[in-house]
Order: sequence, then structure tokens, then C-alpha cells
Amino acid sequence: MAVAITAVFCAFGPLSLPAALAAKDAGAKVPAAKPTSSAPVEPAATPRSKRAEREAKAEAPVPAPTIAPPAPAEADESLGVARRHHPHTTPPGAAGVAPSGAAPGAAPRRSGHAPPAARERRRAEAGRDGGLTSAPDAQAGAAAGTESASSVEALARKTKKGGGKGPKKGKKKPLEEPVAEGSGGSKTPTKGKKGVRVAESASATAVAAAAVSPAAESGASAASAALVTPAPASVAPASALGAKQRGSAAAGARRGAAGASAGSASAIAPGVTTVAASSTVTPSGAASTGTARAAIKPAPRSASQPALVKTITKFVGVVPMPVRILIGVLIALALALGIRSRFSSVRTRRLVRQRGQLLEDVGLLQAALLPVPPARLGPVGTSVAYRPADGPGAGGDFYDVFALEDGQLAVIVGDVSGHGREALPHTALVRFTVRAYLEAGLSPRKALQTAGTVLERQLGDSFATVVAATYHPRERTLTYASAGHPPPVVLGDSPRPEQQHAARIEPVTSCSSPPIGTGMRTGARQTVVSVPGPARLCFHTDGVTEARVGEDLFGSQRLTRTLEALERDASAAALLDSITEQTDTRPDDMAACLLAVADGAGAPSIVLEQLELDRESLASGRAERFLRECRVSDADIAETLRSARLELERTDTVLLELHAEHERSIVSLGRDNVVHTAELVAASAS
Amino acid sequence: MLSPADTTTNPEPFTGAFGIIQSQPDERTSIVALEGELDLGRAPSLKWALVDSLDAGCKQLVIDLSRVRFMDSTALSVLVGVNRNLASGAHMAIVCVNTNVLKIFELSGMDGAFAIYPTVDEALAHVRGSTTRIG
Repeated sequence: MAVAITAVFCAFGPLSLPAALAAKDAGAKVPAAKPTSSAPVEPAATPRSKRAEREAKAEAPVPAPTIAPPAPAEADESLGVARRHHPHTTPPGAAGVAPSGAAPGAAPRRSGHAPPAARERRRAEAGRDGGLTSAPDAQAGAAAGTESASSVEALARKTKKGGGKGPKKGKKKPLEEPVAEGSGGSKTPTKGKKGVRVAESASATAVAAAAVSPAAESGASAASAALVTPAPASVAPASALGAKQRGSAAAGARRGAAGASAGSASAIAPGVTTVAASSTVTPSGAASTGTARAAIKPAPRSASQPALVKTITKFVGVVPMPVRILIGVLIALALALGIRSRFSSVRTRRLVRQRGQLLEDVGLLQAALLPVPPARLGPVGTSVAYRPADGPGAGGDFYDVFALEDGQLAVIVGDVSGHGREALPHTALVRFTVRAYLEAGLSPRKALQTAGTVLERQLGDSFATVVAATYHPRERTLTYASAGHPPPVVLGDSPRPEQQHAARIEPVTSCSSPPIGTGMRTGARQTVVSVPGPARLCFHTDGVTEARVGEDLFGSQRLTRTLEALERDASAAALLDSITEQTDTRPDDMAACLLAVADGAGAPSIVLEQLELDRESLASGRAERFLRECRVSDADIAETLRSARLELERTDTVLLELHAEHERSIVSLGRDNVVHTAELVAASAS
Repeated sequence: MLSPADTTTNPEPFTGAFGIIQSQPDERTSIVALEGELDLGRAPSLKWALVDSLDAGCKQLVIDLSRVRFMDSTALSVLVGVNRNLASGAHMAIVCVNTNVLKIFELSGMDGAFAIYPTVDEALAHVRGSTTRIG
């Protein structure tokens, strides 16, 4: 059970003497002491703890008992060290047993039997432990403090009982300690002879007063002498309430300390009690406990460190030189790699940042090349969409949709050969050049022809396919010309789905104009389509038709069917999404521009085909193929070609026009865009 | 890829990557026969085969597309580029019977730019005749 240990070690710190004096005076002053007086003490305790520890070490060799003045907090810390140095000073078997901890369970019952004086001291101890400061307690503490040998001996005697048992109980029932301290006093005296001896030896110190260690500590100190430091008198007077509150805290703290030093030296933290102020209870208790532990730990460290160093030195000594060098090299290598990885991670972050910026720049450029048109231009609904290629083919596609001054609507869709960054400047060049000519009022064919002439020298090795178109809302006609680009899909929106097929325009592909920048004259063909009823006009790049479905191309047929399957008001984005779903790979960019023409009635039809003939197209037979594809009769073809040949003797080019009127094609020849009615040759349609 | 040395010293048919077969009936003529699909991935091979033939001194170039199932715009742009950069006195002819491929030539408006024949013999006659006539 608990054994009271009265050995007191004082650390002679700056405050130790005053503290000791204060402790001496405590007996008389306690009653009058005010809680406020504790204030100065508490703050000082912590700062001084280290020095106290050092001093305690220095003092260690000196028998504890001789040192009288009880240091409040410092003492606690010194305890651990001192105790560790003094095992021999205490009887071997004198396991410092905490008095109260002795009979935690039984204590409450027997509390009534305890002699008044003893009880008072107990309470004083408990008060110190718990910060109890009631006058009687303080007086009791003072009595003890005034070297009342009897009380000390009595205390020691009481502690006898607890000898040997303290440690276990203390650990097992830590929560009961505070109570046991005060009440278990009566029983403890009969236990623990060794404890008595210790107490006697220690009792020489007048400090006994408040120096009784709490049950927990004493119990824990079973293995050696428990060191008790009295609380300064000035502290003792702390308010009872505060004391009680702290009692538990301090006990807990002490418990911790005891646990830490279980079986050997236990640091007692009477200092806790010195901090009487109720408000500061918990912190001080914790602090003192902490310091107590700290005091215990340093010693093992100092003892083991040399051993560790020795061991390491031994090992190092055994290691052969080559291995040492190897280890050194490996360490150097590890360091180098670490530094390198650090650098690379920094660089990676930088590159990621730069990549983000570049992507933003690309996005801006892309937006400049691929503008977002308004959802409607006049009566026509417009939408555009662009999907970059899966692989390295990205870049080169461009489109534009804009309104002309005369109320017409213009569309440009194109694709510059070559991909990626190299294509960007040319893409912008072609798009804005063609747009400028359209805005200047040129027909799509003439715009492409002029652009072809102008851009021939500027595109270098690359070339561009373009389709340019204008839509006249009032006349409901679409005029388009192509330079090596797929013609638009014109799909009439019939109220009956089964008629959709019939409403599709089949463009004439013969004598298509070559792309801009191929060194050949372009802008030879132009088509005018009448759109009397609701229809959708789909301009696209070859990335759409060249998307792959298995081993096949997506093709214009599938494109038409996809358009038919979509809702009338579906956007170009929906179209490209649908195409993406249907295809396996898309090696080239896909761009699409959808115009939705509403109102009216009737299916779209080609009303005019124009072809600018030159001597070469006449000689190569391409003109003839064109006429045949336009279903002009053989006789009319022969007549037309003969007239054209005559005309080309006088001029470089002649314009062939096929008017479709009432199921008939009327062929006319003219110069440039001006039809010469005098040279008109009419032919009946097939 | 083909190097000029290969094409000049080895008259035997050369089988390169991506179904490109190159042969030289005579020192001034090179026949590049392609097989399969001429798409984005194979266009560079076609380009280098043609460029190597021209660099080797061939003035008469026949490109046989009879066994090409499909040709896309990138392969077409290679042909356009080679055709544009033909040295003076050099001639190129294309052999093509596949309607899909012919349609691509037509749609792109390049059918007028190339001399397209249904057989290799006709194409050879064209390039040799042109050479004789012009040269």
C-alpha cells in the first residue's frame, strides 16, 4: 500500500531558497496566505525547472534528507534525478510506498479512525497534492513543516503499512488516490517498516510539512524512496475549491509520473500543489508532471548515448574500408538522386504550368480561326462544330458564317493541307481572304477564283480546299462554289420522312475546281440551288466523310442518312457527335456548319450550274463529261462544245451555264459571269 | 525507306513498307505501285518513295494506284505536291481504275491536273511520249 516518503531534495535554484523560506513560514502564514500569492510562484516554476534539474543532479550525491528547503515545482523535477542517484541512500527494501495509495479501497472506510492530527496532515498532503489550502490543512502542513518529528515519524509509520503494496494499488486505482491520501492515513502507519526507515532518515528534514507525497507517487516509488517536496507555504493557502479541482488533476499527473517510473524511482510532483490558484490548477499540474518525467528520462539518455555511440563505433570499426567507401558512394548517390528528383519535380511543375499556358494560347488561336456564329442569322438558324482528329492530323480546318450587307448570309468552310501549327497561318490567310472577297460582293465562284490567284504565291507548298456559299433569304437560293472541297449536303425537310430521300440534292462532281494553291486555275464551277421549303444545308470538311467505319469510309451517303435521322433543329455539334458514335477512327479533323432554312414548301433543286470552260477542259473531255452528268442530250452537247470551241478562239475562257427550268436544261454560253443571250444555245433536257 | 542508291543500282522490284513496290523498267523511268489504303499513315511513305525516285534521276514517273482501295486527302496532297514540284522535263502519270479513287480525284478537281490512265502501259506511253515530245 501507500507509503509516505519524506525524503526531500531541494534544488537550489534561484527561487529555491525563498521557496524554502516560504515553506518554513508556511506554517504560520498559511492561514493568512491568499490565493493570489501563488501567482508569482507558478510562473517561476516552469522556467526554473531545467536549472532545478541540473542542480538536483549536482546535489544528487548529497543525501537527500539534509536538504531542507522544499522547492515547489523544481523540487519535483529534481526528484526524479535525485532519486535516481540516491537509490543507495534509501534502504534496499525501502520501496517508497505512497501512504494514501496504500489502501485506496479501504481508506474511505477507515478515514474516521485516523487521529485528528494525522488526518489533518493527510489532508494537508492531499491538499498539497490537490492544492488543498484550507486553513487546517495548511496548519497541519505547517506543523509538519516545523519539523515536528512526531508527525513525520507518524507519517512514516503510517506509510509502513503501505510498504510494498503501494505500487500495485497505486497503479491499479489511480483514481482513488486523492481520496485515499486523506483518509487512508490512519491505516497506513502500521505498514511498511522500510518506509519508516526511509521516512526517518528523511525526516531529518523539516520539510516534512507539506512534503508528503501523494498516494500515487508513493505507491509508485515502491522500488525506491519517494521524494517528497513540500509546497511553499504561500501556495498552500490556495482556495479549497481550487485545491479540490486540482486534486484530481494533480493526482492524474502524478499518476502519470508514477506510471512512468513504475517500479523504480517515481517523481513526485508536490509542486503541483504550489499552484494554488484555482484557475491555474490543471496547467500547473500538467507542467509539473511533465517536468517530473523529463527529469527521469534524461538520465537514461545520457547513459545510453555513449553506449550507442560505442556500439556504432564498434560496428564501423569492423566494416572493411572498401565497404565503407561503397557505403559512402551509395550515400552520395542517394543524395545526388534525391537532389535530382527534387530538381526534376520542380521542372515538371514548371512544364505543366507552361503546358497549360500553351493550351490556353492554342485555344485562343483556335477560337480566332473557328468563330462561334450567332444562333440565327436572319431567318436562318446556324450552328457550327469542330472536332479535332484523334491523331496528329489536328489543325487546318476552318469555317466562318456571317451576314453580308445586302442581307445575304455567307458561309466559308475549308481545310488547309498540312496539319498542326504549320497550317494555322495559312488557315487564317485563306479564310480571311475569301471572306473579304465575299464581303466585297463577289459571287462565291469569283471569290474563290480571285483568292486562288492571289494566294497562289502565299501558300507555299500547302494548298487549301474551300467551299464558299451565299444564301439569299428572300429569293431562297443557295449559291455555292468549291475549290477542291466536298460540296454541301442540301436536304429538304419534308413533313413525311419517306420523302426525305427524294429531297436530297445530288451535286454534279464533274469539272470540280481544284484547291487553292495547286498552281491551277480554280473557281470554275458554281451551283445555285433553290430552297423553296424547309431544308438543312450541311457544309463539312473531308474529315467527316473520311472518318472510318471499320475498313470503310463514312462517306457522304452515311452523312446524309445521319442528317435525316437527326431532329430538324439539331445542331452541328449533335451531327458530329452522332458521326463520332458511328465511326471507329477519325484520322482528320471534323468541322461542320449547319444552316436550317424554315418555312415555305417544296423540295430543293439545282436551278443553275455554271462552268468556266478553257481550252484544256475542252480538249481533255472534262467539259463533255460535265454536260453528260447534267443530262444534256448528245446533240446539245455537240452543239454546245462546237460553240464553245469557236468562242475560245477569241477568248481564254467561256462560261457555260445550264438553267434548269421546268424539267429542261437550258445551256448558255457567255463570257465570264455575263451571259450573252445572242450566243445562247438551247437544248432540251433528257 | 528507299535510298537513291537502291533505286539506281537495283533494277529488281523493291518491296518497301506499307505496300509500296518500286521498279525501274529503265534508268529514266520509275514505277511506284501502291497497295491497300493510302491514308494519313501511308502518305509519308508514298511521298518519300516518289521523292527518292526523282532524286535518283528518274524523269518519268508512273504511280500505279490500281490496287489502292482507298485514298484520302493527305495522299492526294502528296501527289499534288510531287506533281507541282516536278523538274522541267519530268513527267508523271497515274494508273487508276478504282472508281472510289477516281471520284476523289474528280471531287477535288485534280482530275484535270493529273494524267490518269487505266493501265500501266498507257501511263508509260504517256510519260515516254511526253518526254520524247518535249525533251
